[in-house]
Amino acid sequence: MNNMKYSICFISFFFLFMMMMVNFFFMIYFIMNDMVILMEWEIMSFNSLSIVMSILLDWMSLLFMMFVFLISSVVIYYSKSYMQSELNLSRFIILVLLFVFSMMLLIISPNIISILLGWDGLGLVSYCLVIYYQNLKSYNAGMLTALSNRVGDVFILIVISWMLNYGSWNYIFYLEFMNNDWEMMMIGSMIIMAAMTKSAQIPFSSWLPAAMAAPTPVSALVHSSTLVTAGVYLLIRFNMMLLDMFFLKLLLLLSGLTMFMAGISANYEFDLKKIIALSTLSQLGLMMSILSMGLPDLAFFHLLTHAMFKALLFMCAGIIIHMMNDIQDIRFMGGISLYIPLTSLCMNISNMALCGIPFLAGFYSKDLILELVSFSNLNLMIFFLYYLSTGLTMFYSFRLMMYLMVNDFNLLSIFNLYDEDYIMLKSMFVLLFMSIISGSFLSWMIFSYPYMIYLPFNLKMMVIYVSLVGGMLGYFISNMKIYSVNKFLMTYNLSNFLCLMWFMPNLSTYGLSYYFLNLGQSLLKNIDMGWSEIYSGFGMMQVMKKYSVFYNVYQMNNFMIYLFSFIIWMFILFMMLMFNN
Amino acid sequence: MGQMMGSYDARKVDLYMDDKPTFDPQAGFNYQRKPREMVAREEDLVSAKIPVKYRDYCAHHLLEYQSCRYKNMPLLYKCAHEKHAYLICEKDDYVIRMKEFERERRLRLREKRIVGVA
Amino acid sequence: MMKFLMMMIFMIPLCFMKNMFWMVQMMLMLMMFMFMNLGVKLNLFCNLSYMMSCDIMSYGLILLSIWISILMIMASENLYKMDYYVNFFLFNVIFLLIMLYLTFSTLNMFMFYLFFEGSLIPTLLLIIGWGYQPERIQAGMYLLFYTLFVSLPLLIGIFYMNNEMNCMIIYFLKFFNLNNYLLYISMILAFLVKMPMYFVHLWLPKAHVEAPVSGSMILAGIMLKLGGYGLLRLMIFLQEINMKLNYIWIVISLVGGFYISLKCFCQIDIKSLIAYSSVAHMSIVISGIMIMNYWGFIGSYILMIGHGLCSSGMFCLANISYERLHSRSLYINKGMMNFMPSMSLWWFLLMSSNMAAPPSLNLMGEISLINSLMSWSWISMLMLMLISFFSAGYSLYLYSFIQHGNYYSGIYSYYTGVSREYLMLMLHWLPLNILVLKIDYSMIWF
Repeated sequence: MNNMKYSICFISFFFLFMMMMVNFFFMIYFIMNDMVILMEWEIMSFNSLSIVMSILLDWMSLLFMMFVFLISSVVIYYSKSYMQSELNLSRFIILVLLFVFSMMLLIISPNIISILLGWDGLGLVSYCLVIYYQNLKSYNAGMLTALSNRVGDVFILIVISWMLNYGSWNYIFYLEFMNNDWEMMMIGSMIIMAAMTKSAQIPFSSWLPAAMAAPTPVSALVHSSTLVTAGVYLLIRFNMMLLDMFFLKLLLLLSGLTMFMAGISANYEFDLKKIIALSTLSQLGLMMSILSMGLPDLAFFHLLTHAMFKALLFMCAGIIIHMMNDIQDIRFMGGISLYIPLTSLCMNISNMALCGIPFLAGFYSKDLILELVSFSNLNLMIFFLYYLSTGLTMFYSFRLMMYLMVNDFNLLSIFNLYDEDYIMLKSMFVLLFMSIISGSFLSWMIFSYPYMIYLPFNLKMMVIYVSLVGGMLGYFISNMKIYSVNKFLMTYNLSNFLCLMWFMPNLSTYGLSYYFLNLGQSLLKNIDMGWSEIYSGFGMMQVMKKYSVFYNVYQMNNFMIYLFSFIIWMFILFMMLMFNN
Repeated sequence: MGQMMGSYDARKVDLYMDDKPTFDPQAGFNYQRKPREMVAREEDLVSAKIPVKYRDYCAHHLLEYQSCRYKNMPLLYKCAHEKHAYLICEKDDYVIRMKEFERERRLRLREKRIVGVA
Repeated sequence: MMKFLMMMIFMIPLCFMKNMFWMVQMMLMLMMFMFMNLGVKLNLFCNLSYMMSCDIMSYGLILLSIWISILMIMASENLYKMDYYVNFFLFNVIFLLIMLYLTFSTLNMFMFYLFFEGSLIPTLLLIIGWGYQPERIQAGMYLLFYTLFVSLPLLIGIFYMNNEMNCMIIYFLKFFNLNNYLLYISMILAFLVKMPMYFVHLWLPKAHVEAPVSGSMILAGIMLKLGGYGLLRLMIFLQEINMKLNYIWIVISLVGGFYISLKCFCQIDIKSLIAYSSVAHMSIVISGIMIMNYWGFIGSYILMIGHGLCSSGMFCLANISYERLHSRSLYINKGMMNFMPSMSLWWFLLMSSNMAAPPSLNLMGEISLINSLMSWSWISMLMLMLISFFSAGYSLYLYSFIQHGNYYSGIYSYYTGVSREYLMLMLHWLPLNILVLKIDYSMIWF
C-alpha cells in the first residue's frame, strides 16, 4: 500500500477531520436551538418489548463526537510518522478506525442494547490494540485489559435483563420517573460497577497502568480520552437515576480514593508512560467524584478538556521516547528544553494545563470543580481528598518537568534529539491550540445556566496554596540524588505500599486467577475424571466386568454342572407330572 | 467545609436548609420591608423553556443572558456583561437567603432563651 | 420436501463415481439454494408432503445441517488429496445428511426417533473410520452407549404416547396433556444426554476430540441441536410436569456451565477446549428451554444456530493448525500469528463470536436467554455473570495462546492459509454475523 498517492493515514485523517468540522457546526446549531434528534430503526418487536437501534443526536453527543473525531484524526496523522517503520501499518490504522467506530456507537446510543454494541466493541478492539506489539508485557497487559473490561460487559448484559421490568430499553425516557424502585436500585448499582471497570476506579484500577504496553498513539487515543471516559459518559447519561442512591456516595468515596492513590503512585514512578497513565487515573477519579456529587455537566466539561491535554501529553511522550532510542525511563532523560524546544513547549503547556494553571484549558474545568466542591456540603475526608489530589497533581507534574527538562541529559554521549519531525509536530500543534482555547470556549458554550459561587477568600485561594506547595515539593524531590536512596530503605514498606498502587493489582491478577484455576483443576480431576466416570462409563464397565465374570462359571465345561442341572430339570419334570391333575 | 468550623453553638437550633421562616417578617425592623417580587413574567419563562429550578427572582437576568447568547452564538465572549449581571443578582439573592436563615436562627435562639428564662 | 430427499438419495451413486468429490459439494450447494427458496410462515407446518414438512424450527435446523455438510466436505480436502476412502466418506456424509434431514422434517414422532438413532451410525463410522488416534474406539463406544442407554426409554415413551392418544403427528402434540412423572423422565433424559447436560456430558469431549474435522463439525454443529430440537417439541405437551421439575435441570445446567467454563482453562488440547465450551453454551440453552418462557425458547433456538456455526468454524480452525503441525496440543500450536497473520483475523472473529461479542447471533441468543433466566429467578444472575465472564476468559485464552508469542522451535516447515480455508471460515462467520439483521424472522413464531 505504500505506492499510493495518499497513504491510508492521510485519507483517514482527512475523513475524520471533515467529520469533526461537520459535528462542530451541527453542535453549535443544536445548542442554539436546543434541538434533539432521535432516529430509530426497529430490529424486532416482540412481547411488548422492542429491540431498536437508535441514534440520539443532542449537543452532548455531538460535542463528544467532535472531540473524539478531532483526537483520533490527529492521532492517526501522528502515527503516520510514529509507526512508519511498521510493516503492517494498514492493519494498525484499521484497528484504530474500528475503535473510533465503536466509540461512536457508544456515544450516540440512548438504548442500552446499542450501548452494549459499542461497549463490547471497545473492549475487544482495545485488547487487539494493546497486544499489538508481541512481547510478554503486552500479552499480559492485553489480557488484564480485556478481562477487566469484560466484567463491565457482563454487568451491562445483566442490566439489559433487569430493564425488562420497564418495558423498553430506551432508558432516557423513563430514568427520571422510576427513581424509587428496587429494580432501579439494582440497575443503578450495576451501571456504576460497569462504569467503574471501564474507567478504572479502585477495585479495577490495575489495568490502566499496565495497558501502557500499547503503542503510544493507541495510548493517546484510547487510554487518555476515549475508552476510559466511556464509563464516565455512561454515568452522565444515567445521571438522573443515580442522584439519590446510596451507591453514588460509595462511588464518591471510591473515586476520591482513586484520585488520591493515583496521585501518590505517580510520584514514585520512573516510567514516563506510567506516570502519565497514573495521572489519567487521577483525573478520571476527579471526573467520577464530581459526577457523584451531582454535577454531571462539570464532569463532562472536565472530560473534554482533559482529553485535549492528555492526548497532547501522550504524543509528546511518544516523541521523547523515539528520541531516546525507545527508553521510557525518565532517569535517562533531561535537558529536553535545550535540544527540542518545540516538543518541550507542547509538554510544558499540557503539563501546566493538567495542573490547572490559570486560563489554560484545565483551569476552567478543574478550578470550577474545586470551587463548587467547596461551595457544597461535604465532609472533611472528601474535602481533603480533593485538595490533596490537586496538590499531588502539581507535585508529579513538576517532578516530571524537572526530570525531563531542567536536569542534565543522562543518556549516552552520542545522541540525536531532533525537532524536525513536522508530521508529529503539526498534529501536536492542533491539540496545543485546542488545549489552550478549548477551556474557555467550552465554558462559554456548555453552561447555558451559569454557576454562582460565593466563597470566603482563603477557601478560594486554597487551590493556589495547595498547588504552590505541590510544585515546591516537586522541585525538591527531583533534586534527590542517587546516593540518597539509602535513606529510603527506612521507609521501604511504606514506599512499596504507596508505589505499587496499594497492592490492588494483586486483586486482579494473583488473587483471582490462582483461586479459579485451582478450582477448575480440582473440578476436572474430581468430577470429570472422577465421580462422573465412576457413575457412568468407566464405573459401569468395571461393574459389568466384575459381574459378568460370575457367569463365566457356567461356560467352563464342568461336567458336574451338567449333571447337577440334569438332576434339577428331572426334579422339575417330576414335580410337573405329579401335580398335573 | 468552613461551615462546620465555628458553628458549634449555631448547631444547637433545630433549623435546616429547606425550612420556611416562622416568625413575623416585620419583627425588629424600624422600616417597612417590601416582599420580594419576580420581575420576569411567567409566560416568558415558559416560552423560553427555562428549567423549573432556575425560575427564581433573578430569572429576568437569565432571560437577557439567554437571548444575548442566541444572538451572538458562537462568539459568546460578547455576553460577559449579561452573565456578570446575572451572577451578581444570584450572589445578592444568596446573601439575602443567608441573612434570612441567620435571622431565623437568631430569633429561635432568642425564643429558646426567653422560654428558658420563663 | 420430498424432492430434497430424492435429490439426496440420488446423490449416493454420484459419490461412488471417480473424481466427484467437489461435484457432490456443488450439488449440496444447489440443494441449499433450492431449500432456501422454500419459505415458512409463522409456526405453521408448511411445505407438507408425505409425512414431511417444515416449520420454523425445523427449517432453520435443516438449513444449518445442509450448510455444515457443505462445509464438512470443503474441510476434508485432505482426504481427497490422500485418496483415503473418499467415496465411502462422501457416502457417509450424504447418509448422515439424509438422516438429519428426515429427523427434522418428519411429522411422525416414531419416525423422528428412528432417524434420531439412525444418525448415530454414520457419525460412529466417521469417528472410527477417519479419526486419528487409537482412543477413537473408546470415543465411539462412549458416544454410542451414552445415547443408546437413555434413548430406549424414549422409545418406550413414544409407544406409550401412541397407545394413549393414538396419534403420533408432531403438530397435534399441543392437544396432548400427559402428566406423568415416569413418562417425563424417560422422554427428557434422551435429549438431555444429547445436549449434553452437565453430569452426562462425558461423551462429548471424547467424541469431539477423536473425530476427524468433518465429524467434529457435524457433531458440534447439528448433533447437539437434535437434543434441543427434541426438547423444544416435547415441552409442548409436558408443560405441567415440567413446571414442577424444571428447577433440577436448570440448576444442574447453570452450575455445571460455570464448572465447565472453569475446566476449559485447564485443557491442553485445542479441540478439547472447544468441546468443553460447547457444553457451556448448551448448558444455558437447556436452562432456557426448561423455563418455557417465550424468550427462553427463541433464545435457545437462536443460540443453537449461532453456536452451530461458531463451534463448527472453530473446529475448522483447529484442523487448519492440525494439518500443518499434526498436533492438537496448545504447547505446540502457538505463535501462529508469525506464520499466518491473515488467519489470525479469522481466529479472532470466531473467538469473539464465541464469547458473544456483538453483532453475532450468539449475543442475541445470550441476551434472550439471560432475559428469560432472570425473569424466572433473579438469583440466577450470579451464575450467568460467572458463565459470561469465564466464556470471555477461555476464548481470549485460546486466541492469545495460539496466535501470540513465540512459535514452537521444533517446527520444520509451514505453509500459509489457502483460499479454500479462508472461504470456509468466511462461510461460517458471515451468516453468524449478518443474520442478526433479520432476527425477527426467527424470533416471532407462535
